[in-house]
Amino acid sequence: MWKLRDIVLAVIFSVVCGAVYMGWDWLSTLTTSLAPWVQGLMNGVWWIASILVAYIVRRPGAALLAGFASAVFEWAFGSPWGVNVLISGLLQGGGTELGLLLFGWKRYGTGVLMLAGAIGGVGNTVQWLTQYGGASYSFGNIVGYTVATLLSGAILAGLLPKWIDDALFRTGSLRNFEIGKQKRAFDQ
Amino acid sequence: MMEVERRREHQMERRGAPLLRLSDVTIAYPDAPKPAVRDVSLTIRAGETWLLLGPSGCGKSTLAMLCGGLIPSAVEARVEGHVEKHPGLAATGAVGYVFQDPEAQFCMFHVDDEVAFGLENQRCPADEMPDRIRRALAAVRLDVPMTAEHAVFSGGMKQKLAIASALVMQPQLLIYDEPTANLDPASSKLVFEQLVRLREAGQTQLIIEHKFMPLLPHVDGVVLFAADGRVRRCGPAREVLAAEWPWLKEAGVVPPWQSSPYDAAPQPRVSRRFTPLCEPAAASFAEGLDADSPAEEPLISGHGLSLKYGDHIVWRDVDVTVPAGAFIAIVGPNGAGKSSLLQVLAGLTRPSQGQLLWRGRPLEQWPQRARQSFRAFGFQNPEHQFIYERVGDELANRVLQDGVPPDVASLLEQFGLSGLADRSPYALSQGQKRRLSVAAMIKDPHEVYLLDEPTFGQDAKTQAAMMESLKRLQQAGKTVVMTTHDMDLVRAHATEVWVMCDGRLTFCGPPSTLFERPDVMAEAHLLAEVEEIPRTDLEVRPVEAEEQTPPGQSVGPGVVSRGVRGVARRLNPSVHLLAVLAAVLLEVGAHTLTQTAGLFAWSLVLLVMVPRLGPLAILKRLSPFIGFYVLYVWSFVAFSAVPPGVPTFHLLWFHLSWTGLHTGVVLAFRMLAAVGLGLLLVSSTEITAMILSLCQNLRLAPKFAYGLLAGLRLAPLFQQEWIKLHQARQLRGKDARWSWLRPVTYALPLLTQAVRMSERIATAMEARGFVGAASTSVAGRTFYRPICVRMWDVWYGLCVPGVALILVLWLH
Repeated sequence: MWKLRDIVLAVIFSVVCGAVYMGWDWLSTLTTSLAPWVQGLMNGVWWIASILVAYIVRRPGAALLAGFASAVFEWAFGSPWGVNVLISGLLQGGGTELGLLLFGWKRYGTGVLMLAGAIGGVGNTVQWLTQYGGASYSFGNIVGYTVATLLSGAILAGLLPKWIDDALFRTGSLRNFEIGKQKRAFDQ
Repeated sequence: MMEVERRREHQMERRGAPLLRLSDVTIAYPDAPKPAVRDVSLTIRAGETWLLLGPSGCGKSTLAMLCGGLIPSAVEARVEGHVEKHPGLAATGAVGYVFQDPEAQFCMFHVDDEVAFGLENQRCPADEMPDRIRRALAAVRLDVPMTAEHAVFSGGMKQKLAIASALVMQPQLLIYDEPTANLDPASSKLVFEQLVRLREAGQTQLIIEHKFMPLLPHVDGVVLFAADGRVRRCGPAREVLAAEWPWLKEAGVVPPWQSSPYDAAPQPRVSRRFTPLCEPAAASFAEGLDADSPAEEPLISGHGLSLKYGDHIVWRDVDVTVPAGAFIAIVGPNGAGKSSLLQVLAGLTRPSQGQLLWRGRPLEQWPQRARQSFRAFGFQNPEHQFIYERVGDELANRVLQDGVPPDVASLLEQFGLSGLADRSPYALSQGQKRRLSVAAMIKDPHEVYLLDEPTFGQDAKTQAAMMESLKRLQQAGKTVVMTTHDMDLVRAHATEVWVMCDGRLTFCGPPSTLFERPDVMAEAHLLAEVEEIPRTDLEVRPVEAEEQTPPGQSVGPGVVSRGVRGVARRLNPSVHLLAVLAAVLLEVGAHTLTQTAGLFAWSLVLLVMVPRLGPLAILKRLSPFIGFYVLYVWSFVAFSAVPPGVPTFHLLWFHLSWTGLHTGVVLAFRMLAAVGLGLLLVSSTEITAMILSLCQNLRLAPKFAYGLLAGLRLAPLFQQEWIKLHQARQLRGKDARWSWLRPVTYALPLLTQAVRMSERIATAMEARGFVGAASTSVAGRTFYRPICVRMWDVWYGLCVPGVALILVLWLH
């Protein structure tokens, strides 16, 4: 069962991430104009909220919810991609959620989180190919983009949020959330 | 009298009947080594007002949460012993709760929505709500429009609103957990008067309060806790305090200079003599200058200082001098600009006008490094100061690789932090955090120490220790400037006091002179809690006839979204959202230049028609996107796959092509159309209405809908947090060298604060009855603002994607 505090936390974190995404949107235009695979390497930041929230609250749907909510805020803050970011939020958050579902929302180890982050990258690539005209790029560019995106998802959207949450856990403020309960159970 | 009668009517129990009985209750938190509360026995009867006292961390709040039913449901803890509650206490909203932090107990944006939240949880019929809300606001004497946004309220007003939000549910028991901790003396007095009025009206109350002295004549009993969570003594106020006064001083519950109210010797009273106003500021300047040797340069001086945020003038025409060796206290009401003045003096905020001199030299001439060694600054919230993950690193101001160096170890010792070097600063107790921040401040010598409410939220013991450290600094020839609400501290320590009030500096001189000026004191909300609270009349002002309009009508009939123009405000937000999403999905099918340009034109038409945006407003809001799309188009020109035979131009490693340009422009228009539709939705809907509509029309679970609103309400607070973090890092010379790196280094403190706020706000919402069916199903609650789908919504919802579809087909 979702607790109210899980929801409020997910929303606030999504607001913070939405603001980060917004900045990233503008930054990314510069890299896109360099080469598609450079863009791919940066992509992971756009679904960082999913693991950031899911790793703390550890409930089914957390990754999808955070992915979508952060996209809503990104859009509201004025993303140049407009309403399309909502679709991105669903695809990337949904991908990450799928990764966690594969382990029944029971395992939150480094490997699992990196895999989930990478699957989020699949969601990103799907949208790029269909909606953003990725398919009209040359074959080499498409492969480069896809590989770079999955890699970036694993590291930036899997490893990095875990690292942030662990640091947050050490501050003692997450004690009353599911992450604290599970870590306590693990210690005993 | 209406309010009072109504309360009596609903009061299920006569005065004197037991409401709550605890026998040998012990409460332990899951990962704590020791229980927070031990073996407490207590009986609270209807109509009684109880005061919980004890040193910080003694379990007062824990016991209150048990009485309020938050433990063990909202806050997890193990409870042993016997708890016997009157069945009436189990009903939704039977216990009202007022918390310390005014920011962290609201979940809506507008006053009426906020007060209505509890009523909705109680399933109060919507047509009764406006009346009850107005009565609750009148009962706490909060005279504001129903549709006002409470974000702009002062701390005192926010606490009154919090009391009104609890009171409107007609609770059997009202619990206050340090309701005045963030308030200036006059606002605290307002809250205290409210507590007294409610007691006289027969309300059962449980109060936790540090500044409890003025309340003593108005409570039926006191529960005094020892530091280990046991009850030390329990009984009538006079009996408990007379017997335990020496212990209260020793345990730091009351400051050492305070004498017992039940001692024979009367308290020294503030002089009531009125001295005529004679430009006090100027006069005292002269005095100050005479006292100092004129040759000596003042440490800090400012002339004609003003501070503006946008159009809002915080304060102006402030002339100040900080002589070396002074101990200056800045006082004044909440929101008078004390903190911002301190920040200007510290060179953290640039004044909008006027000149600031440090040792007679303009601030601009001071290099960063010299500034750091000149002044030290302490934030109100010590957490803002922390930039490392360990206590030891924090004191050393670098990451310690191999053990704790001796100077850091001795500082830890001196501030009672030994053994904590490896802990996270955020995981310390409030008192420890404050001691750590002060230790970090005084580790390296500075000329002047500026502190923003250093005693805020500290118990008397920590307060005394800290004032002692500051006093020692002053005796060593250093200068101290601090803001405070505590007039006792001013009296005991300050050599000079400045009063900020109404955007001006209204007094500047020695404290003894200020205490002879009741006019200045009263204007600045400084007279207050030391005085006795008069028996108040219970008369509630009659609700005036013109106020009797239902909430919908105060903003116009049929209005769904407040603050929106044109037909937009009557549209159902959910339908609008779905219509926009459908149109955006249809746009994916547009592949030619005419199609996408047509769709963009359609979004422009809607922007003009629906929220009535002018061409300039539209252009202004879309302009940032133009630059983005230029680069976007470029990436297609450069990287598109090109069919054989089409000419390309080679430039560096790019292969430019016309095909790519065409694809790029088509996509750019498609995205512009989506941006236009997004802008349409944003300018047509109020956020509250949108979320309420998602809940009522699309059946989003209330828990998610209201959780979303609560989270959104907190978002603006992060901007303030961000500024504070930025300043703290500048002060210590540790800010990220490139501004784009800041999000990385600010992430931890910002998110820690976010976690804490979300926990507090969730607890506050649950305390207002947002549990069970009220939070899980739309049918489990009523709605103050019912939002329905009307015929015109359906037409509009079909029209927006319909026209888009026609355009896509027709322009094929």
